[in-house]
Amino acid sequence: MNVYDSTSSLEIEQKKSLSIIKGRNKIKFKKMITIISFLLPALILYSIFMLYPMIDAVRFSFFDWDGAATSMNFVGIDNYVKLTDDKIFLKALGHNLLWVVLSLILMVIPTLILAVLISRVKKGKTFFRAGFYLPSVLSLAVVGVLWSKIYDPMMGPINVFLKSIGLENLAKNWLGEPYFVIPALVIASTWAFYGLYMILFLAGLQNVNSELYEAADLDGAGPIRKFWSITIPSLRNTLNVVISMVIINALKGFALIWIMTQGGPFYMSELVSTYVYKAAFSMNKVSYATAGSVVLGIIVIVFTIGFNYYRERSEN
Amino acid sequence: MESLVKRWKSSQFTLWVVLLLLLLLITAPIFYAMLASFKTNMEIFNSPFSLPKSWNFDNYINAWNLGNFKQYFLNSAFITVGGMIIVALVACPAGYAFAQLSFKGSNLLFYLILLGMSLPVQAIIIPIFFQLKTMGLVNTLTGVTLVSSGLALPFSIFLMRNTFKDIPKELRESAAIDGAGEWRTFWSVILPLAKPGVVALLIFTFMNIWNDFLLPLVLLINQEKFTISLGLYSFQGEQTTNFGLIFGGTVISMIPSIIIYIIFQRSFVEGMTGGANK
Amino acid sequence: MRNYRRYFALALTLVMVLAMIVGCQSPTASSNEKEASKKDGSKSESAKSEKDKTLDLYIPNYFNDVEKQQWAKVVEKFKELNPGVNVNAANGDVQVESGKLPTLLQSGVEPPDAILMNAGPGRVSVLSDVKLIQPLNKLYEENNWKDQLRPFAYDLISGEENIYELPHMLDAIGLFYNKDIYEQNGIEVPTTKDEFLKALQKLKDAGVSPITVGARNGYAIGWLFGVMLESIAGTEKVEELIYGNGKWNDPEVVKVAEMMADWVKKGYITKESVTQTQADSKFRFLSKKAAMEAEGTYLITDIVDQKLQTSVNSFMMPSFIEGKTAKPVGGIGLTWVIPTKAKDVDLAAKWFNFIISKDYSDIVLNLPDYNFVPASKASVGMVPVGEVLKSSMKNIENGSGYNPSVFIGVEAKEAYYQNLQGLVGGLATPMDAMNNIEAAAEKDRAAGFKLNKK
Repeated sequence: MNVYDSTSSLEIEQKKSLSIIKGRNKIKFKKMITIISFLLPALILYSIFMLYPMIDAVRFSFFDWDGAATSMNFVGIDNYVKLTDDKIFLKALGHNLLWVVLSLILMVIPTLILAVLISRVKKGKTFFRAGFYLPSVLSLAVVGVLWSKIYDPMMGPINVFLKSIGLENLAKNWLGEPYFVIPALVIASTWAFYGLYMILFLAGLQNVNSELYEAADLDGAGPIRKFWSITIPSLRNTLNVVISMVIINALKGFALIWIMTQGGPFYMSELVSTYVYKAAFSMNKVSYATAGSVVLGIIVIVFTIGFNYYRERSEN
Repeated sequence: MESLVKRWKSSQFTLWVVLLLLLLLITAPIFYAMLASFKTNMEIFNSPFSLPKSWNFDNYINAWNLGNFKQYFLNSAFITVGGMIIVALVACPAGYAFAQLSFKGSNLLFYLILLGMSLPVQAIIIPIFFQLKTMGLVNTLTGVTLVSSGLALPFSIFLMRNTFKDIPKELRESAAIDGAGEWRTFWSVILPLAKPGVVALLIFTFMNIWNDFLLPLVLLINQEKFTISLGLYSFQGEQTTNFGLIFGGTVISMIPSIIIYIIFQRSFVEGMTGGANK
Repeated sequence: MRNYRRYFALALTLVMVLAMIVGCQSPTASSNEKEASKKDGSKSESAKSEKDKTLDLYIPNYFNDVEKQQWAKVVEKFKELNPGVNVNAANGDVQVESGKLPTLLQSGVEPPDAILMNAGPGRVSVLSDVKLIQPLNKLYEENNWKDQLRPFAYDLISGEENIYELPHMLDAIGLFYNKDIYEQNGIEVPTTKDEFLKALQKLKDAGVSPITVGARNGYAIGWLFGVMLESIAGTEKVEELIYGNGKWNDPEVVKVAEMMADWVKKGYITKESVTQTQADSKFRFLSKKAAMEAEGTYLITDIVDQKLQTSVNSFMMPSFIEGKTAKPVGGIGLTWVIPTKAKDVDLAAKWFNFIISKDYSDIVLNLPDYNFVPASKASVGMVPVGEVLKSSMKNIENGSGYNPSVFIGVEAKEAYYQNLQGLVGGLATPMDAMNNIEAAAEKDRAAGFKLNKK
């Protein structure tokens, strides 16, 4: 703000312009105060409970600290080096990836088909939309308790049913066998989360140009062809959003696993989040756990930014 | 013509039946829990699918009183209502500023806040815990309320920004010409128009905080401070052997969300699609 | 409408100011404030104290109504003996593992006068290392607590320079069994290795699940393994593991793991055990769907609650070593500590004296549903009215074995729980499992974890 920059020789003019600038500054200043007053509460809350902890997380991860001692030892990237050598952490990371893949398979296409079916209904669309969304309003604690009882090997309805129709061999200990535990957990989590994606697909389907279908009808295209060549391409944006949300949510999973298996048996369903929670809150390895959680955070954020970048580019 | 109507009718009919069956299958776990909550332990064990022998509410009464669900319920209500008030008071003005007031660095700031939307809570929960400890707020409902509101902000601001973006800027400008200050304009002109958005925000916040598990798990210590999710979790864990009672507690825990959902179903869905499609 | 908006604005400013206060408060400022409020608190308390003192206790959550009533009776008696003293007992998570107890003590909230916590050297030291609880040496001398405790209990806590705890009760973990199932299959309580193995096979052949365990809760699979370790490898071996230079992959220990894996394979331990929680397993046992379960005396309240006193009892798994008798495994289950910042240590000491007094044991042991073996000498030789507790107390008369979960370091414990789960689930071989536990124990040792016993 170079107010005195003016090289005008006429003093009066100078004064005049000065006062205008001053007035403008005043307005500008007032405007700034107003804007700040709108933003400040949010910024304060955000800084205290998100920004500052983010910085702290990175800071902790460079120290050796048990959460109780009054002094912290700086150890550099030691914690991260140890993580790369920690078999259980790497296993957990692998489980996270498996979780992502299974979620994508179970959630995206089945939910899309469901949404297409609902969108075809002429009367009672709202009823179905509301009904199918119902599981999503339950808390994960409820979902976890409910499904761990459903999977119960002895009195769970699945096994009771299988045994009653003579398929004893198919009755497994769903949360106890290495090949079933993660899929079983992903099914429970799909049940809890698919509603949101269904709503998104339904909204996207409303915007699909119905003329395209009519034209396809004239061409005599079957429903499957119409699905692949019209529905999916027109829903590209929605699909992008849904896929990215599925991936992010899959990486974030914690509550269901914690309630249903606590990462067990024998680390078979350990995810980064459960491993980190145990390390921090029951083994006192606070800084080590923080390093693990920072890795998870970085993966999610890099993915999100990368995905948005890709999306913006592909849309242009 | 007649056959066409018939065909439409019949295809609609099959669709209906298929969807209805699917719906029953998918909501079966909920009905299963409701049935089981009326049964005794032995009944659940011996005949899991049949109707209960008698409709007695013992499991509910016992969960409510002995299982402490009464206390959990109140705690959850405190945290949720407190969180809703704070989030509404904080996110509305911020969303408005981002949507309607143009200022330098607004995009940068907005993206900084959006960053928090994809950040997993697990990544920062450990520092949050120790930070609350220095603030003396661990094991307090106030602490959980504040943290929950803070973590809800990114999405809330995003939602409110989209809501206020839909309101034409001309309205604000004409109010300014009439001499109304920015806050006045916000309260008396813009906010009333954004009512559906605010309602959606409140419902979302309700669902998120009421259903949250991780924050209470980490931040609350004493049983008498537990929220309903945490209470249910500790109720089914450790030493409880009574499955009927657990299902009683489960049903108690899901009722509030279901009621709120049924009442506000429409604005809920609209808010969700509005939020995600932009 | 307009008014309403004004209130809205007012509330907003309020929130802003609040957020600012909370946010800008530096740690020092907040602690100053707390100090001040504490002073206020103590002032008002000292004014009252001439007449009315309050003892603040922090005790475990009640798992059922029976326990709640038991505590009420005990508190009533204490008040009767100490007129003018109020007792305020708060419930909470008393585990160190969940991080909740250390947090409570650090959080700056006024701490209770005494805490009844889950015992074990690894747990108590977490608090004493950072001076959250105070040494009780002086109180031990003044009150002569040493001679009032069972020697076994005293030895466990007095290995180091300072004593930080007063043991409340001893764990006595053994095998509980359903008498009906035994009778139906013509089985007597086994007293030798062969009888025991025969009983397992017989039950299995009869289509009954012999042993159920809630392996999803690490501590529960730890109970069973502890019991097996005591019977198969012997107390000395376990002592070596805990206090000496014993290794978890020692052939004799691996043998125990192999036997556990073998029992799962043979169907002696039900294969669903791996996903069962302790609650599931207990339910199965009490509803007579399994013949045996490794449990502590905690189970008694449930037994009484479900009126099974006459059909459930406990025995020690016979020793597999020639000429030995296996003892119940345990250690100290719950123990009392005094926070460094406790406001009334004298009152806490008074309470401790009460806990190890004959008066206390008299009350609790006469409750038909009481479920703990008191750690006090006064209780030795007393006969509890509860049938099940009676046999547990008899078994523990000659001392007790060790439940490793309580004695090992954090790394080893996590590995111990997970790998035993792996064993029961058939997911890990015995050798691998024991190697993993040993590797974790080595980490603990490297971090300076070492236990001493008197």
